[in-house]
Amino acid sequence: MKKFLTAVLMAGAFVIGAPAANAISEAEIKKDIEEFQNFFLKRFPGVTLAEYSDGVNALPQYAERRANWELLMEFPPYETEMDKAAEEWVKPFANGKTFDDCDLAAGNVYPVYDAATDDLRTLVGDINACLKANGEKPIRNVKVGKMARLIAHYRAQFNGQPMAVDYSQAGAQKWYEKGRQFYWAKRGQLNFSCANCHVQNAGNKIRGDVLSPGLGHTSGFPVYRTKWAVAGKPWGTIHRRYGGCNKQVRAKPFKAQGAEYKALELYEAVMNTGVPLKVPSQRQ
Amino acid sequence: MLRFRNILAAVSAVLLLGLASSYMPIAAAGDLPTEKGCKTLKEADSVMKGWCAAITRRKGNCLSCHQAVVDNWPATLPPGGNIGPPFVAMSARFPNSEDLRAQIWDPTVKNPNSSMPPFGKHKLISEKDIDNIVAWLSTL
Repeated sequence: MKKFLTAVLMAGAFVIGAPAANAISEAEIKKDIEEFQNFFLKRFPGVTLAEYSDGVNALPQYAERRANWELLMEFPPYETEMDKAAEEWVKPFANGKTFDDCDLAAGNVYPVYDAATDDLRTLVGDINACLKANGEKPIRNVKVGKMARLIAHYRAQFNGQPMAVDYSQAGAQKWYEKGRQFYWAKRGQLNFSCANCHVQNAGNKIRGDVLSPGLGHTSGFPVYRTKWAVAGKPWGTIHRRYGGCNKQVRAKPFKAQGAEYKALELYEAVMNTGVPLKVPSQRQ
Repeated sequence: MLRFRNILAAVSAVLLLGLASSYMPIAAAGDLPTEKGCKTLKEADSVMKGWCAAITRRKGNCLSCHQAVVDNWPATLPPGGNIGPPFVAMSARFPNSEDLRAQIWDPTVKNPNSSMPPFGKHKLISEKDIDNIVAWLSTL
């Protein structure tokens, strides 16, 4: 009997301890990517991986409104803002340096895992770190306006390059696992996971709107949104969008640039491996 | 006496309906009320209350994911989404209305990965609202 109890206890301990003990491997992540991408490629035959950088506009279910979007793109509403960003980017700091002197990774490889701090570096975080290092005040609002504009300017220089986030280190894999949990877990009073809408129901209609596919979610950010433009703040970083999504399912949003959204950004970016960057994106 | 009272009630109900429709110039006579119309609805039975709870965004917001097949659909109300199955032949699909009620109260019992919010379990709408929605759905 005692032997049996010990066996049961040990089995229990194994089950509880398993996720922490056996972290997800690089091969398993590769398999995740393949499954995730194949799901969409099968569901929307004829839409290529690269076309997902157009977000919801890539889907046949959105064809009617795509024409509208294409017309809008003839004179993109963000053009003057992009000119402004280009000026802001080269405007010298007090020490004479500019953002060009910042130590940034390529626009298609963020978030970057930093083994020294066991943390994820986002482009937003790196821009503020650079400002600080040069004796400038960091940008306080990391979700809208100037910050989003600056990263739009920087990332746009890498347009066309496929997303390629490095997940080879064990530390990065832990962050990935955290993000994956976030993506697939139900939350909020309405009990939705990210995947409920953007995997299971991608392309389906929620009232009159079409749900965007999870494939293509990070390659277009920051986004210039018509809905946000109405309220005077058209730009948004991906963490702004995460906060909005969480609110819509009646969950308390997490802090922009906090651990939860950084992990989620990593997971989404990894799922989008190979999707070319197309920044900025205009969405409704 | 009782009969007279019933007649009186019926006549006043017809009068009320006539008044209500004259306040909603866009809706055609006989159409179900829209969300706006529901707000000004004075007298309603559980079926009508159920329709109102179902289409109102701050309540059931059912049209977010479901389309409903009804004859007198208000002309100005857009059709619903297509995330969930449309409301057709509900009384045939749920011969026992308790099953329908349980499905609205917590759809994750039957399917843990259901996209439908657990309206009762998470107190999204009142128990009375759920009863009314079941009453309306059972007429379809």
